Amino acid sequence: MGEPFNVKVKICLVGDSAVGKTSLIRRYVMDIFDDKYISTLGTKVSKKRLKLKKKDLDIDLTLSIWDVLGQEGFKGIQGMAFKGARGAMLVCDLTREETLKNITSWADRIKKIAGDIPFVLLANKSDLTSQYKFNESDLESYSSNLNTSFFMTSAKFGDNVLKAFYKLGDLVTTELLNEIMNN
Amino acid sequence: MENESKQVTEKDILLEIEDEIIVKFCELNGGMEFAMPIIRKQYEKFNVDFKRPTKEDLYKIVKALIEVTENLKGDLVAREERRVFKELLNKLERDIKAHQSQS
Repeated sequence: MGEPFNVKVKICLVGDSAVGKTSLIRRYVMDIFDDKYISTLGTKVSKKRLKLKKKDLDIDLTLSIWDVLGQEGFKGIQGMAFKGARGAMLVCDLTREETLKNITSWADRIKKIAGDIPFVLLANKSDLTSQYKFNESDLESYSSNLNTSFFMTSAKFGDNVLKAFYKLGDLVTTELLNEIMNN
Repeated sequence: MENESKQVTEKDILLEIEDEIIVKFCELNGGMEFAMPIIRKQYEKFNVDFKRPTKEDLYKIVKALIEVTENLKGDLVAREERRVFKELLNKLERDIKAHQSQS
């Protein structure tokens, strides 16, 4: 059996403030949740390893996960954080419609700096069913325009969180392998 | 998120300069991954809310960051940082003054 192929990539979580980016990362990396909301000052970086199988290769993927503040008025910090990203999670909040409307703008901004990288769209707070302000068909429409998959996630209970990170890891790895093959 | 026609407030001016201070500190101190925890520590130390900084808060943060750079990177880098931060704080004073005279 061959040695696993080690890959390290940077991914960013972007979206309006308070959509749950930090909570999603905490759920994925540490499997914990805290209701207390603290805005992220700047960026926070977490690491997580993921094992994938691609084209008969065992891939040992290390995700460098960048939690980027969603607050308005920090374009310099956000721009600096997007540099070198190989993939991004676009996060919105099912209980606030404007957070979905702003997703396209987040995607454009990250593309401007990081290029045409893979995205996945996450609609977070899926546990708050009675407070939904948009539905699955709205998400389908946005994800189709952005050419992405979407997941309805709950950082609180962990629903679809692993799946979403796995999906982005898979997309990023596929892109990387394609680049290697083509060079 | 984007509102091009929005009127600029004093808070916007403060946030814009704060953003530039943070970016510059990161550039001069080994990048965001390394520098951001240092910045966070200074904000905690002075109990500054990064979403609503006052002018005085930014002066305090700038002073503290320059001290960190002196210890981490030495005089040469700290001197460059001091020069850039001075320019930014001058811009802050000018912009606030201009904003106050307009309103």
